[in-house]
Amino acid sequence: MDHFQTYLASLAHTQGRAVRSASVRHRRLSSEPIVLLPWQLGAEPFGLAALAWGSRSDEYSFFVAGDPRNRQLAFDALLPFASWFNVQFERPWATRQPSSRGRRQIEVALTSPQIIVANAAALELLGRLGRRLAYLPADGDPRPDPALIRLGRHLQFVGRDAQIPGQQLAVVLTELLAAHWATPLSGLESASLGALDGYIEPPSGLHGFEAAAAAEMESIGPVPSGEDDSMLEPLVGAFNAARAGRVDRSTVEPLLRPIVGHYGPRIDRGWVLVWKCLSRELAFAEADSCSRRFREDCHRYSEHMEWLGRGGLRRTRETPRQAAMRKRELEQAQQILDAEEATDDPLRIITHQLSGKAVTGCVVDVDLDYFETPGLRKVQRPLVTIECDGQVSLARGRELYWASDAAGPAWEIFDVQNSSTVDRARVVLKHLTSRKRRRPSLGENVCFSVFHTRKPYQLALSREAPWTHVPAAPGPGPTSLEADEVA
Amino acid sequence: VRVLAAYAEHSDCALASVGFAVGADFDRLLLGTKYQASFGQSPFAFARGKAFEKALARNGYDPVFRLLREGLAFDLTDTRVANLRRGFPPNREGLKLRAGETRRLLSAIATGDAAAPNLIDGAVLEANVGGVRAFFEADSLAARSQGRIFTGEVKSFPVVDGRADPDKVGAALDQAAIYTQLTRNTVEAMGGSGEVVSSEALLITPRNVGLTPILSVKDIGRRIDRAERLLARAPNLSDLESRIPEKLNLGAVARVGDEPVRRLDVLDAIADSIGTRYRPSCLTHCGLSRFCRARAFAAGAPALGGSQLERSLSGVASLDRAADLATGAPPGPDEEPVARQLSRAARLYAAQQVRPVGKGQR
Repeated sequence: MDHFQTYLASLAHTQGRAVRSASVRHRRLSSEPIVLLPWQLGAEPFGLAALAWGSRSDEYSFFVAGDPRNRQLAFDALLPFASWFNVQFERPWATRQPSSRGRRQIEVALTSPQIIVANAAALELLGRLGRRLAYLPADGDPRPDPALIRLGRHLQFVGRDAQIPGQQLAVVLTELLAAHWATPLSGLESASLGALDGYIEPPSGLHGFEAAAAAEMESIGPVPSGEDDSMLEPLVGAFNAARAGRVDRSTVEPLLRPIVGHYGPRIDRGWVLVWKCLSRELAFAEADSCSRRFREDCHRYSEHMEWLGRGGLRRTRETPRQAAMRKRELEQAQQILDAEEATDDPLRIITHQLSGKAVTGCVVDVDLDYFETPGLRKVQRPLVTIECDGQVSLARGRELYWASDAAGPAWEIFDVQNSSTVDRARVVLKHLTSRKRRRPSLGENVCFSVFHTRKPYQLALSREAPWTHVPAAPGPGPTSLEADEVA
Repeated sequence: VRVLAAYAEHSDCALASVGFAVGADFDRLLLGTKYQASFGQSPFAFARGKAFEKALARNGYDPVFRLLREGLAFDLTDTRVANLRRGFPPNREGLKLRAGETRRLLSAIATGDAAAPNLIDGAVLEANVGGVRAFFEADSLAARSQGRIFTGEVKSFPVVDGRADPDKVGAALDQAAIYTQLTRNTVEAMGGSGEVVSSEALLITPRNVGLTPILSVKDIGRRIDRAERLLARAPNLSDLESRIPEKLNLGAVARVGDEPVRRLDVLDAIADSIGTRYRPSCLTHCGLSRFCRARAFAAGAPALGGSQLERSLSGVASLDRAADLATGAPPGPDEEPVARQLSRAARLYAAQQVRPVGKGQR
């Protein structure tokens, strides 16, 4: 943990409530998101016991499966949700325009859907469900509804896409809050949306710690507490006994009431909390770079829809080449996200100022008439002098980028004068271009850092794996997870 | 063994050590107080685990032997199973008898006895932790082939597309490491070589949606070394007990009928006399974790936020002190490096204004 985060954690502890660690919101939040609140049955990895869904704070739909260990009950319960979700998720694809990516001509949706979940475990559960449903054998017995398979492919895409740093197709609220508020809560405690909310907005007279400790006792899923499941177990037992092996909806529906009664208050609690957190974050201004990442989201969403339209399947295990490319994609996305957040947000940059990766200050001199002769020709190299708070440990020659032109040419540290009497420094920066560009002006507060938002040039990966131990045949394609099911 | 694996992670905590030594059930110790543990396994999770174990034990453990043959090329022409879960009384005496039987079976394997079992289910191992001898029931399997002993863990979390939850795999392998270490100690105590116990663990889990078992073989050499270190650092428990004032004991804390405040006062006094070592990972294992966390909060302990926060406040006693240093309190010699950074962070933060915008401004 860096010293800025450490300071904020101590500040939150002494103030008794969380403090903001970002001055803007670094994720775009849709005005009409798809909010999903799932519950799992015990440790059943694919057992979606209940799910609430909707796009409004004052209205949601939900189902309970009864006993999701029974495949027919689980799939029947999912069907109304699948029909709703598929329509919502595919709606943005209806409005698209031609675009190009490299040499390829593609169609890109003008907007993308957004899924909101309370915590990472919820997204993992939905991803697992997606994996299960995506490859259900279409000719299986009983034959699965095509809407379930389609739902599975969407959820599988969302689960995988969520790994991309900065993406906004799926927003995990605990991660969103933890990235924008500082508390002394541990990583484990921060996985509870209730605990985070308690620390951010504790009831009057209560310290954030106490509010968080009280809130974390009330789970909002998906993993139930032992206590929750102990209450549920007799209800499921009675439900199974009463249905006596029958799975038809007319028999099952009336028997579900006690289980609905169990989940109802828990879902109510979770729904209110999710929308409360969403609405609080919406009140902060959106960071500038969200729109670029939103365009990227639209591209990936469009590729998914286009691929799905062609009946394409996705591998469940990557080839070595795909894994290498994926790793590069994730690393590059993280690098650009770090740069964008740092240049968008004067609070984010403080961490980097303290670690010597950025300087901020007021421009006290601009010299546009400075020239150098690096080769045969004399070229203009404008100099800007800034006065900084604190000593500066950046070395001469280090390349930095101006936050207001983070994709532009680099600046080089030309001189650093640390004051021997006060905790201040003067830094002279040299622009490594003579082209006409906007440059800092006298009296302006500026930030220079090591972060730039240009995509680095990358060599293409070899088509063939460059090592000898290559399997003779490619691995099997995606298979149904149902094949192993024990009756 | 699961209890021992959980304790091993906190063997530097004096309170956990005392509880471990006297066999206190920390999950129930604070029942009826505001810090009562919210543990307790989901009955559905329990049922899933049992169903998987039952599936493995079917037809004389045939699914397990099939995995061993196919996955490890075990040369098992005949299958001999010793199931120590049956035929012994379910009490301490039973554990003692099972520990003796486990020793006898391990000795038979180590000496190459042809009649020795290929598979032991429900072994009980005896160990000395912090000067206290105790019995540990393995909720896993030991298999042998060609004179080598392999320990195995049976877990009901699934492997999908060749992958499983890394946290769960890690916890299972940590348990297997403790089991392996205890087995080695037992074999060595009988004059055999610990090397006969393999440093490869067998992890048996279901595949995909159903309960079809698959076998994964994992090298746990480093985890075994770590388990050995963790168990060795357990403090001497009689020393700790001697530091607890005579009038105070955990029995007084456990009395559910007594005033909760009084019970918590006793526990506070015990914790004051021997000390605790709270860290956030306690929340997943220890029934006293919420009590210790409240103490850490009252003291403003940096450990509240985890090891990273603790490390970054090296030399600073508390979060309150960190906040003071940030606002210009004169630092002590140990605090100097951190104080400089904190006060600069505070200055830079103060220069920024953060507030929500009106809806129209978004």
